[in-house]
Amino acid sequence: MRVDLENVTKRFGNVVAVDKVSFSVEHGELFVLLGPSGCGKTTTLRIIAGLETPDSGRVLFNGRDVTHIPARRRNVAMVFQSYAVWPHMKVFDNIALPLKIKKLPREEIERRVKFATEILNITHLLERYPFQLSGGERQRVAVARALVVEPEVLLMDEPLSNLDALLRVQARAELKKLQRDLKITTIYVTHDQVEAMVLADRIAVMNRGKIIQVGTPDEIYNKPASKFVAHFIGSPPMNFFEGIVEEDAINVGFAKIPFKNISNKLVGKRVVVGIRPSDISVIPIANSVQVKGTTILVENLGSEYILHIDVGGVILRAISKTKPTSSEVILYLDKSKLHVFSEDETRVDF
Amino acid sequence: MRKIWIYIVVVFISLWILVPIVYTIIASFADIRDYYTSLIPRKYTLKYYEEYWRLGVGSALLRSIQVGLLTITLSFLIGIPAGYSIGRLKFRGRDVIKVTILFFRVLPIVIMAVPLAVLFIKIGLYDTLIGVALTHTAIALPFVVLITSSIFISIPRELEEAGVVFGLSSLQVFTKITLPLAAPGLSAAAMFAFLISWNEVVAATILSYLNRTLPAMVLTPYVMGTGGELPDPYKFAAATIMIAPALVFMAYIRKYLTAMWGAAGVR
Repeated sequence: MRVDLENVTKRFGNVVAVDKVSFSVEHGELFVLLGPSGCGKTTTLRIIAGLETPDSGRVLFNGRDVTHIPARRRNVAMVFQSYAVWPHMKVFDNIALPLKIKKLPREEIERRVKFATEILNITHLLERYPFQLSGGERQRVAVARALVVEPEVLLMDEPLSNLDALLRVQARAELKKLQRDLKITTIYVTHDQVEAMVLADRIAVMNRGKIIQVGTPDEIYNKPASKFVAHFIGSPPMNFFEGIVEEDAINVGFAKIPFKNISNKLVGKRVVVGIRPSDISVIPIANSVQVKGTTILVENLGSEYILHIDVGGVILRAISKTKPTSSEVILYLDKSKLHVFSEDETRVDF
Repeated sequence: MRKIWIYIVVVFISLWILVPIVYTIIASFADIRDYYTSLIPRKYTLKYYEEYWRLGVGSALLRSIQVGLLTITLSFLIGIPAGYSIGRLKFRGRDVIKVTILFFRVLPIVIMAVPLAVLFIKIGLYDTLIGVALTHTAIALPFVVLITSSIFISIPRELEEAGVVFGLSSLQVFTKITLPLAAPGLSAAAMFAFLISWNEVVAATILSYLNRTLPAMVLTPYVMGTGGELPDPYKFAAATIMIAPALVFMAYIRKYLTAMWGAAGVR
């Protein structure tokens, strides 16, 4: 099912939690709402679920206005951050309750529960109570409960954030595969940019109640629309340094980065230039800007090293496969991977 | 070493509670001369109980249970919705209502009971079980409201919201999710309401004459009796009559109290 939000706004007292949010989710798509805590992503999800009513704007399911239709009539399912598995019911009853409410015949209920629990590998847990389950098992129960209702929209609110790191990576891959196989339109909320990159067909980055950018993971990663997005996506985070636009270059202090086609309007303006640590090399690469620097810290990640290098007062992080042999290094900044942001922090393309 | 200290404290507290109860029960069977001459009596008798039985303890006991159950029912009918709204809903004047509910505890029962007796005589509730139960409800209600509201606060909202998302109506959310999760707390509140009613003697004495509850009935000969003090074993027998049913009731309801604690703490 296609989901559209049109200028949805929600206030809590004086706080604008969701500010004129609009986006469209295509049928069968896995759409991720990504942003720091308190950015309004969960509220947006709850508005789609029907747990909150927006102050203004509309929510459309397949073009039909559902803004004022109660949650229980929307045929959505939700996986809560705390899982919200009912503690007084056995796993089977937890999964079957939504179906019992719909008065489905017993065989149908059992068939669906069997189907969902088999996909999620929890058939052996049906007779247990939630407090007898581990966090990962509880999360699976919550997902199974969401699947049995055969929802038209599946909503997930940080479903992996309560799992430990190793389990999270495993569950992430399983969720991705599950969603791809079942082709359920899914809206997924997370603050974890890696999770968003791995799972999403498209990502909407939110900050302070507003949508900053919507795009595929590649678009978000390679062409961040603002300094905020650039900073939020990628680990270790992007390097930023200030510069002044000249006629044929940007002067960033420790180097002059030549650019063609700079429009006259920009000349003399202050800008922020960004480059990801992975786009800075210690071995020569083509079409790059060379900078001399001093290594001040080396972080060993096992497979690679994060170098902290002082270039004329600015600290740049670079990723290197090899450990530098001397503290004096020459960095090669990949010119095609530079991001320029204007003073209002929006992207500038030349 | 620390363990030993804990054991000592536990034993001490247990003795503190148990010794008086056990002694009360033993002394209630003691032969009267034996009681006054030796600490642990050797001759036992059922005399005091027989005498209370002749005075109508049996039917008074039944009435007390009925009044207690009526008190639970009435205070739950009013107290659960009130507790739920105070615990869960945000509305103007919530705190004022909360304080007002507590305020009724400030009024001494005697002061409430006398005008109530006049009123009850007028409207035909005097000397009825429902009249006494209504009064006990007024006494128990603040506790029920406070206990239930804190129970409802402690139930994670997401559990109810999950119900809403998965197609349950508000009523179904309440009966299938909220209420079962609140059950252990509600049984505590029920226990409380029952014991308040069970032990209440002033209002019960003033508001009834023939159909007295157990404490009111036992108290009458206790105080007025033969114009003077009753011998001690009579008092112990009266105390035992009061304790025994309450102990049975508490042992029964304790099952529900502990049944779900393990399940409630899922977060």
